Amino acid sequence: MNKDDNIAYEVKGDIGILIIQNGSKNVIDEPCFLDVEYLEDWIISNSLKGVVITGKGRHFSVGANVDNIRQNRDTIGYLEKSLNKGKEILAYIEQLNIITVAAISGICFGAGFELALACQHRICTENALFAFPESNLGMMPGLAGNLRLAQLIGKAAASEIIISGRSVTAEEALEKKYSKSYST
Amino acid sequence: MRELTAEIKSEIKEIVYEFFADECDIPVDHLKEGSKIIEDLDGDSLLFVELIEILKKKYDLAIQLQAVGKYLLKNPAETLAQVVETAYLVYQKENEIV
Repeated sequence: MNKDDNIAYEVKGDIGILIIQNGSKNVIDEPCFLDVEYLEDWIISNSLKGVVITGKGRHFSVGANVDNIRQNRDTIGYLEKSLNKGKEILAYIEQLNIITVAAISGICFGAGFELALACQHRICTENALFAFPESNLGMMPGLAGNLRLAQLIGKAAASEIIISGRSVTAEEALEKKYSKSYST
Repeated sequence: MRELTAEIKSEIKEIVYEFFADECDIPVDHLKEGSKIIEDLDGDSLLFVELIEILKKKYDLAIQLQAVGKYLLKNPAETLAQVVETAYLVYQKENEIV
């Protein structure tokens, strides 16, 4: 059972806090960024009733490690395999029968946004920014975040955000109901 | 292209300085035109993303981050003075900055 170096696990009462911690940008180096078995054991052993996912420092997460994707783009099956593993992780978080909340400040892009979308609730600070910048690199969100966003705000609105790669402010996120609330 | 009046220039400069002072936890009067964002202020490129959003909201600018990103690839803004100059251009040219 492994505990990922880029995720910190804290418990406060019966609430667990998962903290993405990877430099100032909280880059998600690999799609399989989290050990599901460890997570499951941690939830059960601490009798958690809810999990909050957040980022260390000013930002939630800038998203995937683009250099890693570039380096491995010609490695047959690598991206498919790792993205499928990443999808399994987010699907596990999504189906948890305890409350899950993404607490977002600053940048929440790409894979970070996908992780937040896998949670039942999203709350954010006033300076939060959401985006799927993948289209700028000729890619699509790879962890089913496109589908989750479409479920939340509808296919047309989700397509516009994904295809344009534009950023969405906390205010718009609240208006479009990506986020439940925001505060300064 | 929007007109960049002396008043707006001064306001944008003030916004930029106050933003970096606040985010980098440095008194605004300690900031210098030559202050380097990464080396001196311990900042990162994401600060620029946030700054653009502030300007976008304040002046109702039609500016996409991708456009600024493309501009910065050819014209890096490493110092505070360069950030201010880029902010002026963003105000004036919006998406036509590239």
